[in-house]
Amino acid sequence: MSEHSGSVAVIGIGNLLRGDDGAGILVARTLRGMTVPHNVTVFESNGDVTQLLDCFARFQTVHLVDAVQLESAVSRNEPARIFEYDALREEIPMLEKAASSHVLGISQAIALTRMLGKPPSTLKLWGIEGKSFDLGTEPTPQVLQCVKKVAEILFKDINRHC
Amino acid sequence: MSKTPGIGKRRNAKKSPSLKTRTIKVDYLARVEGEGALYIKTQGREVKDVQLKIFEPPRFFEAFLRGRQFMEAPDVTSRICGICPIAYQMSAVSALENALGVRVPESIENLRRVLYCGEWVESHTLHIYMLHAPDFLGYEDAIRMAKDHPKIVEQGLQLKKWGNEIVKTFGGREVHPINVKVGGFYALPKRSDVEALVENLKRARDLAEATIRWVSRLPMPELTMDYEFVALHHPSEYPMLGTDSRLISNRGLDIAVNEFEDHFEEIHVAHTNALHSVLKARGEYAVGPMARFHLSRSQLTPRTLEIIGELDFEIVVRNPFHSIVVRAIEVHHAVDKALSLLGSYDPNGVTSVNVGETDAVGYGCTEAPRGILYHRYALAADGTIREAQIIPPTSQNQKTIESDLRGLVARNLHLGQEELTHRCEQAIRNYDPCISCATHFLKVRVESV
Repeated sequence: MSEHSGSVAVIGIGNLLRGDDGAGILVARTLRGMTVPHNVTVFESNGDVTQLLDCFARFQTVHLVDAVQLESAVSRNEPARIFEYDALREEIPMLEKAASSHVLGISQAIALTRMLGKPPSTLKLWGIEGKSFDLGTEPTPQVLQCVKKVAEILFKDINRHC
Repeated sequence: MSKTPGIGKRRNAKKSPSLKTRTIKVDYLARVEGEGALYIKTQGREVKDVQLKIFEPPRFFEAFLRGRQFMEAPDVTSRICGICPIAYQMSAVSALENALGVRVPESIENLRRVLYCGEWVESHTLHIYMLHAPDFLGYEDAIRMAKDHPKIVEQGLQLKKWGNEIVKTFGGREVHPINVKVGGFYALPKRSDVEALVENLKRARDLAEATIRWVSRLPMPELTMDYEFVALHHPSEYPMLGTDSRLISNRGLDIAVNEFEDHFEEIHVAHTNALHSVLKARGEYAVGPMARFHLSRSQLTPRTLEIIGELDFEIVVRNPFHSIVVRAIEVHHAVDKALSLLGSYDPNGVTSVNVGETDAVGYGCTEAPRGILYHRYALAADGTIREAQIIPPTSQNQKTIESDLRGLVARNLHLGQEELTHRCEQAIRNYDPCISCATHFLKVRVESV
């Protein structure tokens, strides 16, 4: 049970130095530029598992936003896609494999919160399909469009429930 | 002899294949960070070839730093690794202050040590509980382990959280800390924040002790190897920061940090795009917790040494699987050390010292959680970085990891493919390497010839 009934967290996850991997962070920053309700807190995160578990325990509703990399070959020219998942009720296929040997990411955080019995009431994952994750590059135009779209969706959603 | 605390889900080992030529080939899966691949070929009872490929993110950053102001180096290099940013910041400031002829006062040195302790705690704890312990208990991953041992996993997460809190308090932020600069810190935390941290660290110290006792009872695979261990050595402190320290080994190495490149070199290996680091005189070497423990064990805090003495477990540094116990020991030492240093914390103390600009070369080396992290910077008179050299611990351990795999496979050819592959993954995780991987980062394709 969350500490604060009605509380909402939006967590933008990523790394701005890795091209489209910064998508989640950019969504968080876009939202911060809007006037969000007082019960909404916007975070930036690198996906640290303890930080995420902490948020899951403190907030009633949590939106996670992150770039996702699909295993099938992606065309840079095609528009980037947005994926929305109910992380507490759906299996998220693109999160089956972690991306690092020494950090645990959002898939593990979601699994742990289910396993340890401390999930928020609502946990949504928004994935923005990344086209390029090269070090030192800027996000692609397709992903920047998705960043704007996801920020707008979230802004409407969090205002609708206030 | 270690005891088994509880048996969880075990993998089903397949029947041993006949001992002809076996190939264990692990292909790379597309990842955000880079590549990790393993190839082992055996013929009969002989291991013919071992090739481990690891991506090296610091290579990009060396180029990235050229032309930037030296004050940017701590913030830029901290982004090389998400779990050990402090190590990169500390090695960077150490090298840059060496170049600029700057020596920070003891008060700043102590706070840097506290900050570094926080990183050791969070990095080692994450590795012990979430990445490595599942191997020893036969679980697929930490999630499955959490199902059977929720209290253990919660304990680990709490301990990691308190490590994060040290980094947040003195680094300004848990992730990509922003408070470290050449010459010291940008700001010092309030006394009330440090007092709250101290109360949490007292609880963390108890959890750290419980961690040592727990991991010392895990079932340990047998493997005996012969290592040249290399670590920093300080006259009185367990190795962490590089100040007043030399680089030593158990085979006679004893050099100043600025002599690193006279004695070590990076060689290109045909099967991988990563460079291997070797001692010019003798070849492969090992860095990290086992090296530190073997070379400077007596400098652990008194309480940490007491706990080691109470264990019903003898640490054998030649068995790399014992590294999980040594990491737990270092977690306790780090918490204990941080507490002793914070006892005299002064929020009104010196924040930083002035630094100038000069045309110079500087060398720095500190002990990242995974081992020595070496930085060298050449600066121009206007303060820009002309050249940077960064040698992380994981690339220094690559050859040793390959040797361990060679030894491990040779002793375990009777195992089925799945079991042997898991054992190889577990052996690689002894080094907590910075490579891209999943819980099973090695996909195995067996080719029988």
